[in-house]
Amino acid sequence: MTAAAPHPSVVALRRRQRAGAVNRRVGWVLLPVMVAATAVHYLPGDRAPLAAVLVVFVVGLNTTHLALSIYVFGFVRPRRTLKVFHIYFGYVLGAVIWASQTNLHNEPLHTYLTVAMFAGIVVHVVLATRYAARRRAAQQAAERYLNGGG
Amino acid sequence: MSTVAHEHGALRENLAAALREDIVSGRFAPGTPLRTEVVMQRFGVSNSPLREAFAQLASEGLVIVQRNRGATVAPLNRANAADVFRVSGLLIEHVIRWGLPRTTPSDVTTLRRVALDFDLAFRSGDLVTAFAESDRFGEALLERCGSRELARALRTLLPQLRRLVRLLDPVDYLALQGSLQSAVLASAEDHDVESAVIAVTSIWRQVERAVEALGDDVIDS
Repeated sequence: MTAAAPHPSVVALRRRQRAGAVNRRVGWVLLPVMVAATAVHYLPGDRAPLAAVLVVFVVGLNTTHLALSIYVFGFVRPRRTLKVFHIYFGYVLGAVIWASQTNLHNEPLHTYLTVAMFAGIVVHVVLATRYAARRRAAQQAAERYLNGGG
Repeated sequence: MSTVAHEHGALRENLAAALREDIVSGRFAPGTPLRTEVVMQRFGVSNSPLREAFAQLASEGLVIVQRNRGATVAPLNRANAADVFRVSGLLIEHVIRWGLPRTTPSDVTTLRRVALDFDLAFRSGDLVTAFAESDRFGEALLERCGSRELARALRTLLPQLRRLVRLLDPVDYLALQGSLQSAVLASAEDHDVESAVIAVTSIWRQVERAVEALGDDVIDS
């Protein structure tokens, strides 16, 4: 007897769930890289090669984070919940980051975009931290189960 | 005096909650003896709150207390699981029958928000949050059923139910929870109680069948 192949919709769901888990990690990696890229750009001294590398990383990670978010959540029906706000705010923030990092020599636009970007990042990270704390609290309670008890 | 009693009660509750989680999560396997000295040492409590915690867990069907033999984790077997599912199915049906006609548009909005948060957590693979949102949806329904006794009866069975469904694949179980929430929401707006009962009963039966299909290494015959 062979086991029945999972339904395509189940396969798609599990793929999306894996993408969601990866995407949360990408977001946390993007944050310090972005801070480093901005610091290198504004601090005195000639660090053009390092700045260029960091900007490439920021743009790459940001595009990945945004693309995975859209793949996982799509354009959910707008509702007044923090989670939905977090998702759409993240989409807008992704666009602002992209605009900021592709206008490095277009001052003062770049500085305005950078200020808007970091203000947005603070809000986005506060919400993400809140969800991560709740997830960790629930994870501790259900650790055994999700690690293979089920 | 009342402060001492309050602290004692809080200690018993915390102890019962910790032991409950250990049993429900499977950390304590069925039949494991709960040695008084070990538990007292682990939690730093005296015998009195421990006995009360054991009594509470025994009333929830998670622990068996025998005179002169102490407490053991209650066994998991198919007959008991079938009984728990049959009774909880009846109670859930009445939660729907009594609660749905009473739901206001504001209640439906609240349920929709919880269901959406559940769906977003589930589809992004955040299963622990999805479980928490699923519990919130159930609590929201219980609060609206209009009967404290019915809610209390179902809450008494919840630890045993959670213990059973945690034996299932979490993704499969949560997918059924998602279907259940959709069915309730679809019927809640126009107070179509019969459709909701039929759908929820069918989904609950699928959960029961999934537990029945578990191997003998997971649940005793």
